[in-house]
Amino acid sequence: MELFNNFSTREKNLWSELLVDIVIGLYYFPKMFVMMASNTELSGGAMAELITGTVILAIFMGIIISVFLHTQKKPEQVDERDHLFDARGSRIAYTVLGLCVALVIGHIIVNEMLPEVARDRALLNLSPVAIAHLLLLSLYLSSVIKTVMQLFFYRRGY
Amino acid sequence: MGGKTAITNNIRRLRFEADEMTQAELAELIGVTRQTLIAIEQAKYSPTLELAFKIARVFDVSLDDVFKYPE
Repeated sequence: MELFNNFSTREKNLWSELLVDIVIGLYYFPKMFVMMASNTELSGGAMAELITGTVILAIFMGIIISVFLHTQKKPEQVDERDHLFDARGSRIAYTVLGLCVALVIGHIIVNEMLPEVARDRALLNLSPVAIAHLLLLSLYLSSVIKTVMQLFFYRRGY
Repeated sequence: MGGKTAITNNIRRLRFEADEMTQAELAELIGVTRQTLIAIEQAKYSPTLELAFKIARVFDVSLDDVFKYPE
């Protein structure tokens, strides 16, 4: 707790962002991939239920964390080091996102060019909904990596 | 030591001479967080020129009196 008190507001916000991202990711993606793996048709009802649950969980966690974090003095302004770490984190996240998107594009191309190969392999034979979720997972991963890298820079100090 | 910049500084001494100004007070005067000021003092982070001038202005000294770049 002593260590946490030495963090800047920005760093505390990043820790809470990471916590929310991890909880939401652990809630949403396993359920989604289980639904897809079990060949359940992703019906509007099931999807709506999952998305609603995720949104409610995000709001609930956001409220809890903001009550916990913002019981403190005056707000701190964002300074040049915050901007630097944000830019560095974004650069790394952009690279990760680019790689993931390139993989998904490669997958779509293989699927189109070699349908007989894709047909026999479950990992290659993905529906458009599964591809959309892979893209969503890419966005999620890049966001988590950005936060983790920013926290790494804050802990390292430069 | 890894992570140190080549630029050294006298901020700690200048704070002490300025009526033992705290890091929090200086940080507020120059518009950064205390954590950023700590990183600057420990020579882990080189501030922008603008911030360097702000620090020098607080102590009413020249930039050279605050920061040193070894020959």
